[in-house]
Amino acid sequence: MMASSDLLADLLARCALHDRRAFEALYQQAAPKLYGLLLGVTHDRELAADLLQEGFMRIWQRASDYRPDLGQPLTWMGTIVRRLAIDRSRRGDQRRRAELGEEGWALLADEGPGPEERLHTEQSEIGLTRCLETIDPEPRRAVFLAYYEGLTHDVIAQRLNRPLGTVKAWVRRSLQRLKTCLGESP
Amino acid sequence: MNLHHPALRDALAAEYVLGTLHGAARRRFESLLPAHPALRKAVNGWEYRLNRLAAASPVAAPPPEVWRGLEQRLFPVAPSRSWWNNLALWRGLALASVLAAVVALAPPLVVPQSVGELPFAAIRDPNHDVLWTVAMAEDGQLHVNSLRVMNVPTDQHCLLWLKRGDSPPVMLGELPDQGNARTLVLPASTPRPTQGMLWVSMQPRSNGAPPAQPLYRARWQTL
Repeated sequence: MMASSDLLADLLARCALHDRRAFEALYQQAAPKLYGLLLGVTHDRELAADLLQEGFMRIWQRASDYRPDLGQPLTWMGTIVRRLAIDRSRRGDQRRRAELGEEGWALLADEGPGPEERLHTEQSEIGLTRCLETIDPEPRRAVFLAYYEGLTHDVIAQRLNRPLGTVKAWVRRSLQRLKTCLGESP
Repeated sequence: MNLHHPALRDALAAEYVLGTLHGAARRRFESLLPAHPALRKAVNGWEYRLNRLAAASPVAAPPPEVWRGLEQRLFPVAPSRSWWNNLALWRGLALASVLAAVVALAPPLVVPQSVGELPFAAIRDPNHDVLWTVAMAEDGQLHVNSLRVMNVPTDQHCLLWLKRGDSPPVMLGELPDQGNARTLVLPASTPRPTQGMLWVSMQPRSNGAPPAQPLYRARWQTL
């Protein structure tokens, strides 16, 4: 079960004081979720592991930058690791990809419901869930494919079997709707 | 890129964070970020909004190498892995080196007739690799062998402590950390070290205070 945001925030605060044991506890609590996020975005086990390590290096080094009023600890940590993942994948990194085979995807799939269903169970994200529900299913699916699987517009268009222009418009309007619903950042 | 138009700036920031801005447009956007605070603010806002989705990511157990790598990179005392990081090899050598140290470092000392009662402890890292061996001679001296070169910062050192029950740990001496050996002569007032647990701390040379928690710990066994 995922640790509460209060616990993660407490662990981050202790990491800022260079508490090594807190860092280990933070890793144990948050790494499985962040690794799952990275696996989805990169489709590459080795790359996801590299990025997770790099991400936690930064989390340790920047723990004092975390402020609860900037969002949940997992949002803050997710920003760090996902930014690394998108930067790496958008650079067209040519390293050998240890891509997830059927077994790897089955493992992820076996984890249960998809992101939409999981969002419904995240008590802290009720507002986000409500805003997502204001977006039509197909455009929402396009946003999810971009966020959770790191897909670009053209790949999403192929996946959903829709014209590229349609997908671009869906993503653009969905993001605007999310902003209107969620409001400005704190 | 016309970044003076707030709506366009915001839309680009959103797609940048989502990852759908790619290729030359992404590179151009990134090159503009350092000089445009409003653009960075828009990016931060979108990171805050969109990364709330991270909470609904699937969960997957990361490979154990990730944590081991983090420990080695962030906490320099964790030894680097190299060819001699071979558990089977060192298990054998560690035992042999204890006996060698007993003989070589304490010439007047005769190896106890009953070797089976020679108190011995192996201090291991989280990977169960032996870092130090500690053997107690009959006269109560401790013979300590460092089996790994430890990357200890110059202003710090590794100390060996005896921890008994709820009492604060008692310092037994400084541990060698360069693959060498050392004999620790204990003051007469020190309780018999085999009655308790061994703790290892790494701390500033200027601070001799007992640690609240050890970096490593080990129990005595008989050789």
